[in-house]
This record gives sequence, C-alpha cells and structure tokens, in this order.
Amino acid sequence: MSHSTRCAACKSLRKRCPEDCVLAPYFPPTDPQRYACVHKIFGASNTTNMLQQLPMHLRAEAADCISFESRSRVEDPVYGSVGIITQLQEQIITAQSELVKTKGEIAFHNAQQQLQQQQMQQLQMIHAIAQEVEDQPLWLSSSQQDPFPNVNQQLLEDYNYSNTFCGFEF
Amino acid sequence: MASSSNSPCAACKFLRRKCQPECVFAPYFPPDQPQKFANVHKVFGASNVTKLLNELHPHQREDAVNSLAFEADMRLRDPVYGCVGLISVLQHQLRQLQMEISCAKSELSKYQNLGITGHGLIAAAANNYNHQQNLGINLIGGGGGVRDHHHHYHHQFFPRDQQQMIRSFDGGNNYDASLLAMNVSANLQLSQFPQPRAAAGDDRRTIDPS
Repeated sequence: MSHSTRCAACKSLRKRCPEDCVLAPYFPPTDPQRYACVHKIFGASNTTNMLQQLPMHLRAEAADCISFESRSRVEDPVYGSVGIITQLQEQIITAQSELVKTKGEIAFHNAQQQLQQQQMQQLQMIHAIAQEVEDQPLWLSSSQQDPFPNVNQQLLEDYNYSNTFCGFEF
Repeated sequence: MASSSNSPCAACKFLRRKCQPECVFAPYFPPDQPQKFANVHKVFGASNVTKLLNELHPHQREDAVNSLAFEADMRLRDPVYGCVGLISVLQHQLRQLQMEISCAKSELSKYQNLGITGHGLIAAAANNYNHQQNLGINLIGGGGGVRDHHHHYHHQFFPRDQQQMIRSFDGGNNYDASLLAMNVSANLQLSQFPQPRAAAGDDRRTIDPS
C-alpha cells in the first residue's frame, strides 16, 4: 500500500511513497521547497534516521526545526542558524547596556528628587526661624527696651557689633 | 594547512581513507579533534559537507565548518530542537529585556517631566528666602562700620557642591522617544522562525525542488 499522492520527499527521490513513509506526514507535496532545503543540507537518509530515533509525538516539532535549520543554511551558506544566534546575542548585549544605562538615569533622578525635598524642608525651616526672629523684641538694638540700663554702654555697643552672636559666625 | 601524508585529517581517519594533499576537509578537521568531524558526519553527511564547502570561497570555509560543527553538536545534544531551541531561549531573553527597557524608559520620562517643575519650586523658594532676608533679620552681624538696626544674615545654607547638583539634569534628550514604543529588533523578522506545523515557503533564496 502506498499514499495516493507521494510526499515531497518521495517525489523528489522519484520513488513510490509507502504507507509507512517516515517523512510523508511532515513533508507534504504541497510544499516542495521545504523538503528541497532539507534534502540539500541534511540528505534524505540522515533526515529519516533523525526522525525515526524520536517518539512519534516529537517528530513534528523536530521536522519543523530541521526544516528551519536547513532553510537558514540555504539562505546563509556560511553561518546558517548560527548567524541568527550571533545576531540575537549581540542584540541582547546591546539591550542589557541600554537597560543598565536607563536604570542609572532613574537612580540619579531619584537621588536628585530626594535632595530637592531635603532642600525644600531646609528652606521652610529657615523661613520659620526668620519669621520667629523677626517677631522677637528688638531689645538689643533699641534703647527703649534695654534690659541692662546700668551696664556700661560702651561695652554693650562693642558687644553688639562683634562678629559673633551665640556662637554663630557671620 | 593540509595534513602531511603521515597524519591524516580527522575526516579521512574517520572515513578510513588516504588523506590526499588536496583533501578538502584537512584544513578544517585537524586529527586532534576527531569528535568534530564525527558529529558533522552524523548529522549532515560527508558528501553534503563537501558540496557545501565547494560552493563557498576558501576564506569562508573555516567559518562554515565551525558553524556546521556547532549545529551538529547542538542537534546531537537536543535531537528535537537542536539550534532552534537556543534561538527560542535567546528570543525570549531579548523580548524580556525589551519590555524592561520600555518600562524603565516610561518611568524615566516621568522624572524628566517632573524635573523642570521641581527646579522651579526650588528657585521660587530661594527667591522667597532672599526677600525675607532683605526685610530685616535682626541678628547681630557685620564687621563694618555701619551701625544701623538691620543686619543681613549672610550665612550660606547650601554648600557649593550641593548647589551644583541642583542644576537641571537633562537625562538626556539622548534617547529617541520612539523607543518608548519598543519594537522587536528590526533585523529579525518573526516569520523567519518556525511556526507550529505550518512552515510555508517564502520568496527568499531557495533551491529548485526538482
């Protein structure tokens, strides 16, 4: 018994396609190009051996992969599928650098934002202090509220115009 | 690099034949790497490899043999997927990275939009501070001879190095905004890769099936 229509492999080999043809399920006559690539790169017997060594439920996937590899090799006779692998590896390296760079920029912005928040808080604190000081009585510079009327005025004036006040230097 | 008659190349050793001076395999299958030819022979066959090498320029043959050896090795390690398994893994890895880049860039763009506003706030607050200063912070200070009621408070709260950091960081309009809508690499077309049970021919370089 044979297939009513020969598979692409048997057609290519110009032989009868038996019922139990290993290649028939995976190389239909409607796609002669698929088998042609496989035949050129791997050969009929190697392909048959490779598929026969596999359980039935894995043969379809294997046939697809073999077909893909042979097609890649026909299109690129020097590197075949390995060219695709190399290309992908290069793209991965580029993508990794770009990701690291972008994450670095995000980290910078995070740090900058935190710094800005700290500075805002400091400014608010200064405003609060400044407001408080302005509201305090001006006893040191106003003679009307001098709490030390008996102190030597010259000494007090010298103290007023000193470069320090409560330890802060100006 | 042809083997001398005393040491046949790995291919001729495997095939148990005399290694001729003009042996096409000799330059690429040295006798100290027998497994290399054994794998290639098992997967592709000697005659197919010969035909492939004869179609190439001599300077391309070494790379071709090495890539064939790699493919053969992968196929022997994984009889179902071979090289294609590795391609799938790398594709997946690349897709993951591209998604991460896309997310990171959209997060970065938020910072860059906020950055302008943030600097404005700092500048405005600093201006308010300066006005406050002029209204008379009545602290003792100044060494000069001016003895009026108001003395300016000159203390600098922001050290110089921090002031420099306040300058706007233009995260770089050095990335193309179109990258935010990430595409899979333009060099690879997904149709190249095997679709489940539906490998159709395309119009790339092909061979005559007859």
